[in-house]
Amino acid sequence: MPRQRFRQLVSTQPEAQPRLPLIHGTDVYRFVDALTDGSLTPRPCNVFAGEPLLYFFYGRPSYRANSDEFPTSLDHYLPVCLLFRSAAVQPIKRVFPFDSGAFHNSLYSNALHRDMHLSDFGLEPDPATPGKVISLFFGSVADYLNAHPLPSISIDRTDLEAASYHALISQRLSNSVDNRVSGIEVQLEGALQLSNNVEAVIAPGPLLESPFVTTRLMAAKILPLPYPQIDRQRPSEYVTKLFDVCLEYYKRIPPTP
Amino acid sequence: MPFLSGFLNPINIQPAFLVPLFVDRAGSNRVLIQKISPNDTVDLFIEFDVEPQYPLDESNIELRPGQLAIWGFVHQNDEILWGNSAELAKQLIALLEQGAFSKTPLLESEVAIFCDRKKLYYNALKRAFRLLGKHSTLAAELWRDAVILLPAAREEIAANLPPDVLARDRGLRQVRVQGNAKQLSLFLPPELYQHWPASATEHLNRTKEMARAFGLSRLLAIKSAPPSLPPTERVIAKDEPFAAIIALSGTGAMVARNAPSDPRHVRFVFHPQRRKVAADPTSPPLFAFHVLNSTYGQVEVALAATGRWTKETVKIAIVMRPVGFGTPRQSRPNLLQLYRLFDAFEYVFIIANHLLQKPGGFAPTLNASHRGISFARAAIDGLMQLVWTQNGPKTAEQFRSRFPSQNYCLVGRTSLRSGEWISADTMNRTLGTMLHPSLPLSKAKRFIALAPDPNFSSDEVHRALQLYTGLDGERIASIAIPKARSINRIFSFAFSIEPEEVSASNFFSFCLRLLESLGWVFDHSRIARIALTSYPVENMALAFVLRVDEIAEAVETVRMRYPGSAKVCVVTNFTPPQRLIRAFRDWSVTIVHYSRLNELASS
Repeated sequence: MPRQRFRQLVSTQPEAQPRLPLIHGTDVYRFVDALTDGSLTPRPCNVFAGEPLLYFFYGRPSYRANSDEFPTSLDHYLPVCLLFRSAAVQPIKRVFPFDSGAFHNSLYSNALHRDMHLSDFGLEPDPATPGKVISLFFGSVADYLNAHPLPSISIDRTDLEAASYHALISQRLSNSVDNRVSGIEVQLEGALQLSNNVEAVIAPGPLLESPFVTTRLMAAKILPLPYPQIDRQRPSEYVTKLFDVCLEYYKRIPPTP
Repeated sequence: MPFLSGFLNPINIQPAFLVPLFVDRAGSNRVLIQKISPNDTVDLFIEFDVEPQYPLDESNIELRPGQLAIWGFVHQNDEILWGNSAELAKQLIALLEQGAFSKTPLLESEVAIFCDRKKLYYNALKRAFRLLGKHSTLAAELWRDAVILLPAAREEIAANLPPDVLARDRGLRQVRVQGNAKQLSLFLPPELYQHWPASATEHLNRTKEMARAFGLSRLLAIKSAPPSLPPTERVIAKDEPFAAIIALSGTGAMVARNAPSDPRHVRFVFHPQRRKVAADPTSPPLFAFHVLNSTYGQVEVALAATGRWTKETVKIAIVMRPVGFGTPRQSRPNLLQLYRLFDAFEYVFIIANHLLQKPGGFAPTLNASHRGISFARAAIDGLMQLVWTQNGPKTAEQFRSRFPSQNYCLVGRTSLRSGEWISADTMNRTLGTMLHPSLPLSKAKRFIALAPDPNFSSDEVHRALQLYTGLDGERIASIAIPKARSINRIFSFAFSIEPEEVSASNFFSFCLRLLESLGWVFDHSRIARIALTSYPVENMALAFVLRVDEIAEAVETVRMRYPGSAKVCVVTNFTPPQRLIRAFRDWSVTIVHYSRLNELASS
């Protein structure tokens, strides 16, 4: 039986504003398929077997797109990030305060008790939930986007999951871990239309010049946000990360509900 | 040692850069890719989950860490070019110079930078900016600033700062750049800015060069707070101050949103999130705004209406100046005669903003009135937003202690476009809405600006306010107001301005300031009191006169000073007689009242 402590604690928090877009990361091929079909199709999941799920990260591209670790698959090597309006991702199936796949692969084991299960960290499947996680653990949306958790939080001693999560997001094992753990994950079951739901897409620049892609983006009123492909092939410490593009986008274009 | 086994086109369109794929031994299906270091050598090989699209049938090309990386490119019809960066660049330069990628400027810019062809790179950047701009100006600007200019700026900043400062990576990651009009602003977080040498901006040569490719000719380093988004609105004060509005005229009734124009009737303004209280609350309002027209009769009625308020209420008059573009009517009180209001009022706002630009269309007087009403509302809305900020004045005493009274006040207002960043140009526009020929901003004892932007207290805004008001920094404050509670506007207030008689000199300054706020660019001579414009109208000579008999002399001065000027215009503060306008038109001279300066650009 999943423990409800963490869920109840988060549900009592106020929602930090503004509400951010939900970001789906994919690779170029699946993105072009989605543009052709006009919708994003879920893929089978090895964590929640048998459920066709779409995964989103709240406000930030998935940690893999920003990690200093070298990517090992195309969606991490040359990611395409679709920024969905938060109201478009409904009904929400699950919300976790971290990447559920990383938890499943025991990447967080050094911060969590061995008896803690993924379901103990499941949160209310509601659009306001990510903002409530932010209020409790980060204080503000800006600090969440910059992966700066609060140095301490006021919780009861029995809120063990909350304490573990706070320890997890606060640890500084390496640069690549900093952003990895604190992206809030939102799951949707089923396919999702692109038109009227996607605000913007971050993708390799040359891809966004393709007439096929350009026509469909214009028709769906999706803003193109290109990045140089060559920066991913020969990265340097100064190039702009996809997270930086998102943050700059939010500063210039207020999130739409 | 890995062997080159083929190539992957990661974006599946042509032309494009390819990803070279390797295997650790012949026949292996374990695919590897290079991790390339910034100096273009192979760091190591990483396993990669992908199939090659362009397999090489036989390959004995071995590569080991430390050697120059291999690059690939597919041109058209699957024509593969590959080699180390120098070898591939040689092949690509020929295509680049033939214009093979001219229709895809984003790709062209990547090829040009790969081939180290600076001029072609900058040209491609310009065209890519225009291409993106067709989709969205904001997308183009974001790409230019965050993806192209920011990495160059970061690299050069890193080269100009002490290593121990750089070790704090967080500071460098918080650097932002933003281009606006012709300026590129470089926002440095405080921990970097304090180590930033005054001359260091001169060393950002590559950043400046790239910025110039986009038409940004100035670079300014500014200290900024860390990037932030609007704050969480969690705490609502239970007893936020409120205000009373007393409408003494039909215009006043519209300002108070259709309350009766009756001094006995009071309309209240409460905090939008405060629970509704009785229509006649027992506690006194913080402000009592009396909105009146500029007539002797209404002045007397307003003075009498203040009798009900105690010292716990700040008494404010908002005086709507008459709608008229030209010589004012003598039957209406002027600013010296309106001084009578200070017998009872502590602050008197003069609303003449609607007289700065004569509206066009079928009902210019009605349009001007509506504009005046919106500025009168801005005076009320802006002061209430100030009061409702966390550190805003909550009592009459606190308000009086912060804002000097017993002289005239002005209000300005600008609406922000969606996503607009508040810059020096925005402040220029805002201050341009509050100009008055007899109430120079530089004589204000206090000036504040309010905006729904958490970074509104930045140095750039403060410098802009100093520049455009002529006031020293101590008399100016810029205050951020929460976006959740505000209309998306900037408000500006100037307090305690002693009126001046309109002289040739201050009329000249007033007109130049008005032109500046409308975006005009010009040279001017203070001695001769003339100006020559370069934008938006090129080569127009302007003279500024206060009397009819000065026009001929002013025209002669202008013609002597600017003999080649294509157009001559005389700007006045009175209604020029029609016969005079016609006579001078024959000599190619236009005479306009200053309220029609905005029309000059299209004439």
